[in-house]
Amino acid sequence: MRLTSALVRAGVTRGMPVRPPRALPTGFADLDACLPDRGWPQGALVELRPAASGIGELQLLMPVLARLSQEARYLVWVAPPHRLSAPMLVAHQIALERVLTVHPQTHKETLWSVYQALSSASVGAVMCWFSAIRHGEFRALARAAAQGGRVGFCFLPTAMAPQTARLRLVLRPVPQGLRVDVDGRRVRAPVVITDIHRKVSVLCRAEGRRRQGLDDAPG
Amino acid sequence: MLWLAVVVPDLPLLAFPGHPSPFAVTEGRRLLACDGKARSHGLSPGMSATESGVLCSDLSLRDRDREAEGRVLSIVASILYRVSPHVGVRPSGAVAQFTDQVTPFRDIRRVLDDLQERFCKAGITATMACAPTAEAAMLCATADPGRVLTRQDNWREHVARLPVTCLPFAEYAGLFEELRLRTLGECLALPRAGLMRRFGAGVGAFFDRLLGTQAEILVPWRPPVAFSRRLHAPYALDSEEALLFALRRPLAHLTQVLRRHDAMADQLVLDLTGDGQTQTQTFRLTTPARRGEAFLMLIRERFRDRSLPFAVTDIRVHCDVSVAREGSLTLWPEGGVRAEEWGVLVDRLQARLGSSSVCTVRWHADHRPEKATREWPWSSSVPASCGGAVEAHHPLWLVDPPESLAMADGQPRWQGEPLEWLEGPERIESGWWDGAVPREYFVVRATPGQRLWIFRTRENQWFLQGYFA
Repeated sequence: MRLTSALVRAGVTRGMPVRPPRALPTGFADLDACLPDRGWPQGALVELRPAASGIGELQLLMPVLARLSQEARYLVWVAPPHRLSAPMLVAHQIALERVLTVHPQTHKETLWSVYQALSSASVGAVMCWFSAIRHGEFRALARAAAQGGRVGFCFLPTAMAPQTARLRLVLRPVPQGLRVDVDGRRVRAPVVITDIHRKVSVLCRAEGRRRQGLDDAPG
Repeated sequence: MLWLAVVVPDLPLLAFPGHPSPFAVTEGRRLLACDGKARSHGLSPGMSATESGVLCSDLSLRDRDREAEGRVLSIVASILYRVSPHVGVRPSGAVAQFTDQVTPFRDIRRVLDDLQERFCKAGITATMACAPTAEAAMLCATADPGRVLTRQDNWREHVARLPVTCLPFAEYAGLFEELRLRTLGECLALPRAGLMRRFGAGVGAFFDRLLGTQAEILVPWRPPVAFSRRLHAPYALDSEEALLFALRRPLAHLTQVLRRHDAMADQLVLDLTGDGQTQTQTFRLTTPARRGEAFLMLIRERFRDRSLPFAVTDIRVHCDVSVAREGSLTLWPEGGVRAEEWGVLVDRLQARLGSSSVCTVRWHADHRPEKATREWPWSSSVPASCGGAVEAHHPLWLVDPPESLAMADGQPRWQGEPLEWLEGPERIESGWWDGAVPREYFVVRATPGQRLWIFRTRENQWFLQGYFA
């Protein structure tokens, strides 16, 4: 018996089709237009493949992280390869009280920490870095993200075999800025975010001026 | 009714155990108390701190620590609690009340001797006295230590003979002097209305309590509740599961104790003994819990990967139940649930990874990038950020410590590749107090397209400080 004919038989009830949770806008209109969910998918572990450190890979996440931290959600950074700069996080309007950095010693501890963070309802986003991860391990983390409804960003080296993520972004530096290759199951298109670094410094200046104004105001 | 008063004359000094000598405690730049060696140099309470520094050059001075004094007084109160359930703490000592019906001690002097011995053992020099009112007992303990006055004695006459200097009204000392009042009797003989007009209603009420015309209201001191259980396992516990099973019952007891005292606990100490070794493990909760079982999860996480250090035969569970806080219901339950879940997550991470591996970042007002960002182990008492204005063009990733760059043809190279100059120099010159040198920062592009933040020291050495990630 074919599945379709089995499903139309009386006595088979089907639940409502599961609607994916609303996606979070990335803050970059071009990128939103290219992503399958028109934003960062909630309840998914996004695979990010930066070609190197220092190409603007975190800038890509700053708008969404700022939004989550202003919604009183915590941002958990597991095994970051370098130290976060607090003044620059503030410049990107991220509340430092919402930032938790976790430094596990072993791969197993890293996996466990990411799993715990993805399963907690108080967490907004989890950023994690792996130099190597097995398919089964990645799937387990993706499942935790789906169950918890959190958004996870998993930074992996480019040389590694692709994982089974719902959304994979390959990040490469180009002279104009950052090239993002959206490489999911459904979409395959490159986006170039022009001048990603310049954008940041403009933002910082505006923020600095706003702060200055606030400081000058009485009270 | 009989009151026993204990006065600790050297209370400000006792707050600093193991202090150097000569030593003195100050309050508002005036000496409050000084030890024997300082006194032999001619120092006395009331002197200014500057004056005492001249008289005694190697004098150690500390500001008064009222919190530590409170801890000393709670030791005094706990010793008094042995002889009476009605104990109250005063600013300079403690009082205990004996009701007429409950006088289990025939001879009050023997009680005093026994207490004195216990105070000596605790390292506290105390003076004691007994009187029918609490204030009279306090005055006697200050001015006439060891005196025992009962209702049968002519106790009011004894009190009247005490000097006015022992009254706890230091601010009126000058006024007493002006009025030529030397003893309490002279004060009490004055018309009460005039006395109250001159000194205020507080002094009048004090005299009423002193003479017993007004009843003393005792704010009772309660000993802190400590939960302690010892377990002896019939066989050696060698697995995490066995340990957790053994702990289930004491932690259920802890829940009962917490409920009985309407208290919460935020720390649990386990002493594990076995094979002639003892190990102490401490478990902390971010938000105090009303249930002892909340610690089970932390214990499980602590021992999840590593097996027990040795086969455990004896366990001691200890918990201070002093955190008695009113649990308030939040108006918006969503936020409350979220905060609770966050506490659980942080506790779990800290239990397994160690509290120093679970951090938050704070911004400090410093121009040097490596000092501006500081990581603190996550806790509720992390200080707030104190950063200044945001400076543009700085990177999100910091390399700490800065990575030294190789040189070729007088130019810095990164991973053997030449660098393309984009912006700079930006000079950051700060930290002269800890030997930091001026630095010139540049934004450069490496060959694959990364933006790096590098700096040059005065010695023309180049370092990588950050990545524009």
